[in-house]
Amino acid sequence: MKKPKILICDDEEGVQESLALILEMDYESIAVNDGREALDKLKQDNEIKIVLLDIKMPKSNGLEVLKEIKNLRSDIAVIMITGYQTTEMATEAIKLGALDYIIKPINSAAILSSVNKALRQTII
Amino acid sequence: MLSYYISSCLTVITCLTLGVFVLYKNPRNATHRSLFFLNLSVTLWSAFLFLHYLSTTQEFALLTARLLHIGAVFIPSCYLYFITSLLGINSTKKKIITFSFILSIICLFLSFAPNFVQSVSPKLGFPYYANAGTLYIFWIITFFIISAYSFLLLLKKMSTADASKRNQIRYVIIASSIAFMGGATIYPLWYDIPIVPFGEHFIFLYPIILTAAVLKHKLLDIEIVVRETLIYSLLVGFITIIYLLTVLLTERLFKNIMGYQGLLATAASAIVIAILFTPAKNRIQSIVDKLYMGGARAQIQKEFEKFRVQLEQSDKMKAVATLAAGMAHEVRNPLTAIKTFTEYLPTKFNDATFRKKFVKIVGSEVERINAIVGQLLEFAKPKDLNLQKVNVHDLLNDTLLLLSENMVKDKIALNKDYGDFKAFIYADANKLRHVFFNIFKNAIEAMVNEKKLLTIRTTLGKDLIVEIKDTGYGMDKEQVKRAFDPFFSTKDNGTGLGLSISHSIIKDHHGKIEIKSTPNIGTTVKLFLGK
Repeated sequence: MKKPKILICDDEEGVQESLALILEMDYESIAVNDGREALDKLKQDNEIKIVLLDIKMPKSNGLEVLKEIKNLRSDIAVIMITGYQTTEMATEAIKLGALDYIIKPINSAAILSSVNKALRQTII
Repeated sequence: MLSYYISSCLTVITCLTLGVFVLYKNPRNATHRSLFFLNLSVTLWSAFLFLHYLSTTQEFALLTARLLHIGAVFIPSCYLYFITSLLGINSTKKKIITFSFILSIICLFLSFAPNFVQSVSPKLGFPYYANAGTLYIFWIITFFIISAYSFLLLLKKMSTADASKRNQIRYVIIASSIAFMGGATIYPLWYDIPIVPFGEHFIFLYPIILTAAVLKHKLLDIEIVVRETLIYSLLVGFITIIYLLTVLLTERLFKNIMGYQGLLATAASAIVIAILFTPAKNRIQSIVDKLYMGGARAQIQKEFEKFRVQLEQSDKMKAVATLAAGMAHEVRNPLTAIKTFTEYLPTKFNDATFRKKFVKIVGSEVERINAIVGQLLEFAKPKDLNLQKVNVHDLLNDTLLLLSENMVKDKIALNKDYGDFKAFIYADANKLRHVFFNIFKNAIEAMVNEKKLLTIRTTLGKDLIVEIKDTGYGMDKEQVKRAFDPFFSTKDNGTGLGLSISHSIIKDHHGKIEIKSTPNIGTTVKLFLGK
């Protein structure tokens, strides 16, 4: 069976590699560096159903990117990842349609459980 | 007797001056307004008391003894109004305030009745002193009940108020005690109880303390007004003494030589006062300044210093908060990678690709954390500057040399437009080199487009100005605003500390940094260095 595709959007190579490592067993991951690239990739590839999105990137604001992704394809499940832990930002992200909100340094179990949940939702 | 003239006169002056001053400061504030009315009542009372002491006929003495109640009857109700306003409970105590004013008005009507102030007669050295009538006791009881109730409100609030309010209440209690105790010594003699009204001498102090309590937060204003009030009060006292002494002396002199000449006595005293007025005023002013303002100035200085330290502390806390937020993000990214790769190490140890990635990623992420810590230490380092005479042009050239390899590699053209002057300033050469390095590096790394030109211009005006202009990707307004925030960066691999450090170094040199930038056109950083 073909592995589900996940898009990782983070400007840090270390984080990209870490997420890919956590997901490689059950998922196929594609990494991009910023919001623009993420949107381009989503336009090209309809098979991507889940996005792991960093909130703070130098060239783009994660929350803005989240809005654009939801405008582009509302069925995509977006999981936000951030180094800042503020309730306001988490609330804002959930309000804008994010499925989950994960704090760095990430925990592999938390990522897998969140991604599995997202996958179940996209299938339903 | 003289001391009674002077003290009642002083009370009129301090009450009226400070009452008007407080009202002028903030006429819309209920506390200020009520203090004005309270002072006005005391002024009226004291003015007629002054005239009463000056009375030369029995009729005039009786009239002034009655008239002084026009002000006196309103003192307790105005006091209650003032206390409730000060404590912020005037709206909940509206009924009782209105009731107290009604009582005051009733007392006002009563005061014209013949059995309120019955008569005047000589007592304890006073040529005329009032005798209380049967109705007078009603006024005494009213006065006592309203004042005692106001006092109780003050004491009750004292236990629940915060430190600064408690201090204010303490002042009000002191002022009120002086006024009421002082006032209370006047009345026993009305009932022929042989107590001299000595307390009256201190009443003039109460408006000074009360105004200080109300305007405590505006220390400077109140110090000035209290000083002026003191000077003029002492001056009036001085003039009165001179006047009375001159009248007394000339009266005796002229009486012996050419019989009594009242006009001559007044003229002589007027001449003496005119001659002595300015030197006396200056002398009193300098005494008050020395005694009073010396302490006040020191206190102002102390309060200012305290305020400055608080401000600095809050600035520091803000900087620490920004720093902590930025650091959380910066350190958590490499930590994520290190944590994940170590977690997978036992299961993937035999995977050669994993091992290769592990070495590369974990190694570089540890290095990154190390660099962040290093820069943070630099940021937090004590700001001891090693100031010496340095040539800014030389420092710029030295720094450019360090980066020349990067510039050649990135094909960046350099335009050095140094002004034709000797660019000597007093600065810490190493720290200034660090600043130039950070700015040049930012400029070089921002020039990813085709046009790559770095311009360095120096000009000499009030300051020595170094302008560093690039043709890089630039920043929008929001990014320019945040450019000096620690950990803010527009670069993929920037720590966001370079410009923060540069900013603090230039600040330590009492200089200034300005940034102007347009997205996709470029950025200009202007350094203003004191000569």
